[in-house]
Amino acid sequence: MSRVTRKYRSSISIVADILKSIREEEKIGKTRLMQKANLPTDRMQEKLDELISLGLIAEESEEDKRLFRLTEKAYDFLREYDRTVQFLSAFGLDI
Amino acid sequence: MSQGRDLNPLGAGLQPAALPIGHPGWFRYGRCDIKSLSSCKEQKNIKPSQIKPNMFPPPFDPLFDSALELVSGVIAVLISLQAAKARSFSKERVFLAFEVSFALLGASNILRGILVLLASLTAGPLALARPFSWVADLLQAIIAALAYGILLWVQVRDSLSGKTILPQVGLLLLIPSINILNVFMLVTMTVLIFVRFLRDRNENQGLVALGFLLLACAHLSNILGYGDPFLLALENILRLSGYISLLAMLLRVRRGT
Repeated sequence: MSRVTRKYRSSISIVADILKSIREEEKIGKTRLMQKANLPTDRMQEKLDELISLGLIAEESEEDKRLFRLTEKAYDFLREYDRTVQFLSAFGLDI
Repeated sequence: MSQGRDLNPLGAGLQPAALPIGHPGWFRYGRCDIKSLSSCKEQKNIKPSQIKPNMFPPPFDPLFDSALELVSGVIAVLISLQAAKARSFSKERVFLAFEVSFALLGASNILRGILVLLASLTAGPLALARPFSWVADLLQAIIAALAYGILLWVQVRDSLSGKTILPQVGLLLLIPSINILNVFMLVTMTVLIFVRFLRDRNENQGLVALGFLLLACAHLSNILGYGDPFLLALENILRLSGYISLLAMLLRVRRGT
């Protein structure tokens, strides 16, 4: 009997996943972002509002489409996040 | 002269008779029936002029010992600061364990370094033979045990969650006892991290496993070193090597490699 274990994602990991998804495409729409970051609509909207208020992402309109891009602060955030993950990983742990 | 080399582990100008009971070198040198001596009388008859400055391994100088402790302590504090930064950034409580444990390790190394330094100012080369220094050793061992206990708790908790997987004699007995515990805790952590290193091939994990292994060897040298001053010097070198391995990990993390 196999047991499937779901990996717990911490709040900061979810934020990092969203930011990395945006970084990969420079500018990205909400639907595509939801697929890449694996988040449902309501959670994604909540997170996007939070990230905009924190100044980590900026919203732009292009051909009637809402697109999101990273700010400089987000790049700094991702650098610090990578260091944090590496530090914990060095001790055999996950964030 | 070669006879003198066996007699004086404390350096130039000190007669073997000055070697106090309880000094780490006493077990090896203080007894009168060691092969180079025929009697206690002969031991006491050694003149200071017969003793060479290089008769004792230089790393055992208390000031050298103190300096190595301070450097190790600073490295541990740097790791603690990185953990504090990570905790402030991520709000993850697990970093608190790293912050506290490495702060404790740093504080214990720095505390011992300062105590040995103070002792050497009053007792010179005999500093490490004074109960004052043993208290420093004991404090260091207790604080290190607490710190490793915290680190071990984090590792075990993580594995279980499935997320990733005074009297002088008393002091002398207590220090190795606590250090034996430290060796076991460090070896356990080394194995746990090394297994993950084999799985993930993450070089940083390899560096941490190596660091913990060297720290375990340092504690082992401390236990065995009560019969051999050279091993006590080796302990400092091993501990510093362990912290250098952790420093290498820290630098790699800072560089983002």
